[in-house]
This record gives sequence, C-alpha cells and structure tokens, in this order.
Amino acid sequence: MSTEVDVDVPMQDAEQSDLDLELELEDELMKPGSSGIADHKSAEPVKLTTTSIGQLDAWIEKLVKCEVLSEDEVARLCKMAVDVLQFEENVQPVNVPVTICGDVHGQFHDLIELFKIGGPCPDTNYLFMGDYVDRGYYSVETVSYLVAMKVRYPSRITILRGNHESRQITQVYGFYDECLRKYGSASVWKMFTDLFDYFPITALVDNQIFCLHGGLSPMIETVDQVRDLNRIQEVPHEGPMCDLLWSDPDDRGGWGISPRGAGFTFGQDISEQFNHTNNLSLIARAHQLVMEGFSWSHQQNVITIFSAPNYCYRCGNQAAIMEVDENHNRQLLQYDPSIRPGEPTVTRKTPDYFL
Amino acid sequence: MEDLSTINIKEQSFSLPLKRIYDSQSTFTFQSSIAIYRLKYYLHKYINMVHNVEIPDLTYVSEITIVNEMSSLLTELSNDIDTIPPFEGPRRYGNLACRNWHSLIDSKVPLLLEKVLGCSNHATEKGEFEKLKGCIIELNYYLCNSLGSATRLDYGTGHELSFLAVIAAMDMLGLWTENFKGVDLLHMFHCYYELVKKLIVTYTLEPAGSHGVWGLDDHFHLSYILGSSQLSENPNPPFSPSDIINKKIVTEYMHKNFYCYTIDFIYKVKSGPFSEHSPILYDISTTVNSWLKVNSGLVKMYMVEVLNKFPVVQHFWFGEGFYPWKNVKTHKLLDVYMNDTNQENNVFNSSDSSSIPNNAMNKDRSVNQNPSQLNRIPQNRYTAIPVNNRDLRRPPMGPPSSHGVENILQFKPIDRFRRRR
Repeated sequence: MSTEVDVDVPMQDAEQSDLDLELELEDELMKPGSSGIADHKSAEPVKLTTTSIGQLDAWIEKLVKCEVLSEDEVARLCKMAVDVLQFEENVQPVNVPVTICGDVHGQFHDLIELFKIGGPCPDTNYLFMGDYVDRGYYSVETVSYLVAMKVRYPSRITILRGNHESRQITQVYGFYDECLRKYGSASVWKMFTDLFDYFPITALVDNQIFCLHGGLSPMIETVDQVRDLNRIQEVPHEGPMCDLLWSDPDDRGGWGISPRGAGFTFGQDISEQFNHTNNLSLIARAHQLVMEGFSWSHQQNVITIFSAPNYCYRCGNQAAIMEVDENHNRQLLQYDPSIRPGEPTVTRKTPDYFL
Repeated sequence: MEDLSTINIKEQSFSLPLKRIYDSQSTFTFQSSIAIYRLKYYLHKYINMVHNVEIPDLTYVSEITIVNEMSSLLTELSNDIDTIPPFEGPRRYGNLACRNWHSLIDSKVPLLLEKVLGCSNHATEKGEFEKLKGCIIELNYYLCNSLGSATRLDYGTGHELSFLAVIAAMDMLGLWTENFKGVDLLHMFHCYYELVKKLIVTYTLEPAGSHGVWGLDDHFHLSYILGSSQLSENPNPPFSPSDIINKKIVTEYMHKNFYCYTIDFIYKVKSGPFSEHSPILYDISTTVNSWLKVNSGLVKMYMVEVLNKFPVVQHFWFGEGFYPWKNVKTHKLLDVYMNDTNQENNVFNSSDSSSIPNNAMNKDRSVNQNPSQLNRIPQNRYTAIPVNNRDLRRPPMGPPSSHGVENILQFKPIDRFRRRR
C-alpha cells in the first residue's frame, strides 16, 4: 500500500492539498500508540486468572490450526501482552535449558514443524530472536500464535524484537499488506506494531549466552549499557538499539559499514573483546539466511541461527534451532520445510491497481 | 515543449552518472525530472510496439545490425558466467564467485559497448563516432547496474529498470534506426532475461529488497508489463489471465510470451502452492479478466512500486546526457544535497568528460585506504563515491581499522524511509 502520489500521467503535478491530506493520514498511521492497546497499562505484573487461561487456550487452539483471531480478540491479546512484556528487561534473563530460534518470517507451518522438532512448548523452553513477520504468507498467524504463547506461558517462552518488528519495515515488506488483506483495515497492524515496542531487545542465557537479533554496536561495550537504553519506541534509524537489531558479523576485523544501510559489520576482534569484557561464552543471533540453518563465525564466538526453511519458498536452505541443556551442552537441530497436505485456503482480493 | 525524447549527439555532452536519490524527499523530486519523463516515455513506446508480437527464437537475426550486436554482447556476458563457476562449500546465500564475474564484466563492458556503437549509422563519420563514444560513460553505468549488485549479491526490479534505461538511451540517439520493431525489442529483452536468469540461478542471487510473497515477483516487473502488452490488443488471445495458474499453458507459451516466460521461472525456482508464494499474481489471474486490464494495472503499479519507491530508485543515478537530474519543465538542476558537492566539483565542472572516471575512482580509493578521511564522506552511508562507476553501497574493500569506532561514529545514517516534507 503506497502512500506516495501516483504519477501515472507523466509530469502532472499532484495537487498540493491532496499531498497534505496524505501526509496527515500517513502521520496518523505512523503514530505510535494510536491503537490504544497500551492506554491502560497495569502498574504491576498481572497474574493469569482461570478465565484468562481459558480464553488464551481457546485462542491458541484456534491459532495452531492457522486460523486468525478476530480483530477484537487481537486487541484483547495485545493488551494482555503489553502487561507481560512491559515488565521484561532490555536484557531479559533466561534460564537453561532453553531452545534458541532465529527468523521465522511468517512461515507458520514451518514454525509448527519447529515445535515438533524441538518439543512442544511449554514442556520445552523457547527463546525466539525476532523477525516473526514480513515476507511469508502467514505473518499474522505466526505473530498471534507466539504472542498468545508468551502471554499464556510467560516464563517458558521469550520473544525478542527483530528489525522487522517495526512500523516502517513492515509497511514495506508485507506485514502491513497482509493485515489489510486479512482484516480489511490497518487496525490489527497498528496493535501489533504498538506491541512490538515492548518486546525485549536482547536476552542473556544463564549469564553466558548473549542473544539478540542482529549483532553488536560500536556504542555498546557492556551488557549493562544495553540495560540503560530506553527500548519502548519504534526501532530508531541509528544508535545502539538500531545496531543491536541490524548489525552482522563479518570476516573483516573491526567495525565496517553495513551494506544494509543500518547497523554495522563487526569482526572477530570485536566479538572476542565483547565476550571477554562481559564474561560471555557466546553471542547467538539471527538476521541472516544461512544455508545449513546455523553458521558458526569468529571462531565460535558467534553463532547465526535461522529458522525459516526454504526461505521465501525458494532458497533451498535448511532451518535450525539450538538446544542448550542444564550443563550448557549445545545441540543444533536442523529441519526441512514442513510437508503439507493439499492446497491452502487463501483469501482472494483484486489488487487496487487492477480495479 | 521541446521534444525531450531524442538527443542530438552533436550537441549533447555526457558525464559519469551520480547518485541523487537519498530518501523519500529526493524520490519525490525524481518524479519531476527529465530522467523519469524519458523512462516513462520509452516504457509507453515499447508497450505499444509489442502488441500482437511474439518473442522470437534466441537464434533470431534482425535486419538491424546494431540489434544483433547488442544481443551478442548480452550473450557474451552470459557465456562469461560459464568461465566463473560458483564456489563450492558452505556459504551464506549469494555465491561470492558472482563478484569475480562482476569484476570481469566491469572491465570489458566499455569495450563491448564501443564495439556495439561502432556498428551504428553514426559511426560512419569519424568525428561523429568520437562524439558518440562519449556516451559510453553513461551507457556503461546503466548496463552494469542492470546486472544486479556485486555488493549485496542480489537482483531486483531496480536492476531491470536500468536495462530499460540502456535500451531507451540508445533509442534517444536513434541508434536502433527507423526499422526498429517490436520483435527486435523483445529479442533484446529476451537475451537480457536469459542472462539475468542464469546469473540468479548460478550464483543464487537474493531477490533485491524482496517483499516476499507480498510483491508481484521477487525479481521482475517489466517482463510482466511487456508480456501483458503482447496480448492486450489481441481480440482472441491464445490464453487468458486465468490460464496462467495452469502450468501446462505456461510451459506451452513461455517461449512466445514474457508473462508466461517469467511465471515459468517462478515455477522453476519456487516450491509450494502458487496461490501462497505468489498471491498477487494469483489474484490478478483469478480476478482480472482481460489482458488490457492486467496491463494497465501493472503499469500503474510500476509507477508506484518501482519508479516511486526509494529502496528501488536510490540506485538509479543521473548523468548529463540520457537521464539528467533536471526539472522537466524548467530544465534547471533539481535539488541536490549539500553533501553532493564533492561529486559536483569532480564532475560537473570538468570539461573533459573522459577524465572523469579516473578522478572519481582515485578519489574513491583514497577514501577507502585512509580511514581518517572517512568523515569526508557525506553524513550518510548511502553517500559514497562510486566504486568502479557502479555500486555506491559497496563497502570499502580494505580491512577497516579495528580501532575504527571513531570513524564509524562520524557516519550519520539516513532515515531510509523518511517521508517527504
């Protein structure tokens, strides 16, 4: 959905008034918090009641069949989720054993496959490192399911923020379009993107494995500095919070300019220094497609984990997750795309350009 | 208004294309440029040229020599892929061998272009041929840029746009002659798409800025426009939009029609249900019933999703000759960013265009090699100076200093999605 002016007729100037109106609409759309899901935040963590557990279980049952929740249900779910996530930390502590997972990108059926490979939640603890939405066909179902699981089993599943959990990125890479198509309006997109602001940005597994979506930042030397950030905001275009969600490890040493246009590349020297300073054994991150589903770099100082098999229906990559047990033994489990019976039921809509 | 669609080679000067689009604001400015006027003019011209024309065999020989020469050039670049096989062993996704292919063709494209231009009717007079060779500096940029990004190892609609720019640029000079027909155009695009498909498959190039299932296609848009144009004026088209979800029909017509040709590629590279991995194409197929409507919708979509999208057109650069960064009405230079002044001094004030690439490249190397000069690069990371005249975002090739933090912090990242004001 572009909000830019259509200049179909060459060189015809757009009416200025239309322009202003569009900008206003766009601003309204982009305004954080306009969904109202965080208007009545609880002052302290809320305990689940029998009623809310029943409600959540019913939603999870629906979602696991890849059926979307109603707009009203999403609103209630997001409100409950704000009250869970607002109390999590920038560096959310996580205990072992835990299974660490990378990008999912709306590949809902492969997410279900992931839970088959890794064991069902809540029997297995999970830590997801972001990028639940965009590109795939089932971002709404994927993020709804993970958020519902988070609210239902808050201490069993951790969901970090990826660079795609952002208003601006989702308007370009599909989640916005998907919400419009599946709900007929942008309100569900607004609720989820408002919720994304509350997602923790990093996690620390048993004080040893630092988990985050992208990578390191030249402005962050210690884990404590991450704790000082104000994370409840749209992912900024620069600065430490942006870098944590955008950076990539690189074969070249030192800091480099990222070809992505946000975040940086960092070399082995940087990773070693960071792990040494913070007494860490490993940085686990996602963010990059790797053919085997995982990839060690910087002499095992960094691991990349990618959990979307045959990414975008074409890349032919395996997916992987990493189990870390009570004794910090690590095991990598690889898996292929889920086999699905028959054709999906898809919604049909004439794209606007063709009306 | 004077005719902007042609260029008189005797009067026109050319210059190394420069980056002008940095954000949504400059993307908006682009909409009133001579450059976009010309791109749209030729797009419409080509849409009308290919009505009721089929793609010829790859063995097609045109009666126009320069068309055959251009096809040979593309075929030669394609053959070069065979000499540079992909690296084996573990990798991320895009195969790094692709960079070697890019280096090879970067070095030979200017010479190949000179050979192509040598076959033109302008080449008969010596003085005029010398003048004509001046445009290679621009053609070279658009042709190299049409073959994907060596940095990011990807290919997308912005690169495809760059190929349209090559064909249109040569059209502006009248190089395709008065006998230029739809079949010649389709043939050159066919050779181009064969080359690009081979690149994508051989080096597993990523879809540039892919919207995943929510875009029209991972790589192409123009080919759908051309394909639907081929059928839009046909009262009895051999197949209807709804037939394209039938694999058999697609296979049957893929050699004659670009719509089928491109969808066949999707069937080859993607697995899973078509309605799920390509919902936009599926929707077009199931809800739009005439090729004319498909075509007009695709053109509208192209104007917005390609020509007016910052992530795409930021890689389209502007020289003085073919695609000037000038207002279409006033012919005045459009807004130029302050931090472009380095480029400005280097190029626009230079009277001898042949010396420009060297200047620019030397300057670029000095920036790369001396980290202390990093802060001389304008405040955002997109604003670098061209490397090998082609990809702005190619990162410095030397190892950055491990104490590079100070330099890095000098960079002011741009808001990639900033809206115009």
